[in-house]
Amino acid sequence: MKDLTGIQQDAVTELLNIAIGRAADALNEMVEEEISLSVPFIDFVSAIEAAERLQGECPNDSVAVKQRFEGPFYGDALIIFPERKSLDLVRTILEDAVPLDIMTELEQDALVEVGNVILNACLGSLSQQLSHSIRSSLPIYVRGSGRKILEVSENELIGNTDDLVMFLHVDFVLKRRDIDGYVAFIMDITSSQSFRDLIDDYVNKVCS
Amino acid sequence: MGGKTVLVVDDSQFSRMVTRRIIARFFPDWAVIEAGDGDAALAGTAAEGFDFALIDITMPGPDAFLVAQRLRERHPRANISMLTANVQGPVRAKAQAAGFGFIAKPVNEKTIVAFLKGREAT
Repeated sequence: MKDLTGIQQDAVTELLNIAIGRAADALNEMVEEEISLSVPFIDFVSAIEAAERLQGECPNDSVAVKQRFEGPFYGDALIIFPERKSLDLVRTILEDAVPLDIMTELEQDALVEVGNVILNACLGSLSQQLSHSIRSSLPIYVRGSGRKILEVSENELIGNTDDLVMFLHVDFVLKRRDIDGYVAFIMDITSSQSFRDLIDDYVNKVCS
Repeated sequence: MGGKTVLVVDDSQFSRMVTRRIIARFFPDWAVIEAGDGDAALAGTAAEGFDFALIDITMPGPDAFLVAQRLRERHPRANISMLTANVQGPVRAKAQAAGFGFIAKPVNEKTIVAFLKGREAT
């Protein structure tokens, strides 16, 4: 994947820009306020690099919602928040109306719901633009270090890895709160090659 | 319609390319001015006018709506539409309240051609 041409990288950036736009629209419906979007920064890195980057940005625990996706390419899609930001997001959605003792119980459910909405908006958009069906599993909640969230094993720590992570840092800025998070798509080498082939077809189709 | 000029403002080269190809296919005698951000759009149109503008919202640099407003002040007869992945209701409402069109990405022939033929951009 790292040998994508310039125009292919640009096409992937644009596809994900559109996918994040759809996700922000879905989040806007949930929080009932406009979301300001950063320009998505996308990088293609190994799982260990992604974990280290996440660890650097979020030195305390992060929380994530993860969904398995399958189609012509497959892997895990995650939306990841620093732990303190995840509570801010939940409070925004629940409009600060929930007592703190109940908040903790609700936090996980609310985050899974938010993550489900955002990830499905992203995957749905990619599916539509690439004209291929992508199925997704039920979302699960994960909490822990960057390595735990991205499931970087001991094997991967010593460099034995075929996994590729398409790693996006996206700022979802709500007027009342500044919440930033990350979206990651983890694919193995076979899947990432399929994804690259789809991008190639897509660029050829729209540029012909 | 005689040869006209379209200003395309988008930080994505890919998106500009797709838009340019649509314009070339349906309006082969029209000119296209490309700009990668708002500052380039303002600089690139300082000396020459344009008839239509398609402006991405999520770009680095100056706020796209401010850029669109300044372009309108300089070229009041031009038709200006936002062309964007940011499809939230409040954003669409903001564009419409300011009198700009609003076209959702991904770029497609139907909406671009309708806008360039002077029909309502949706």
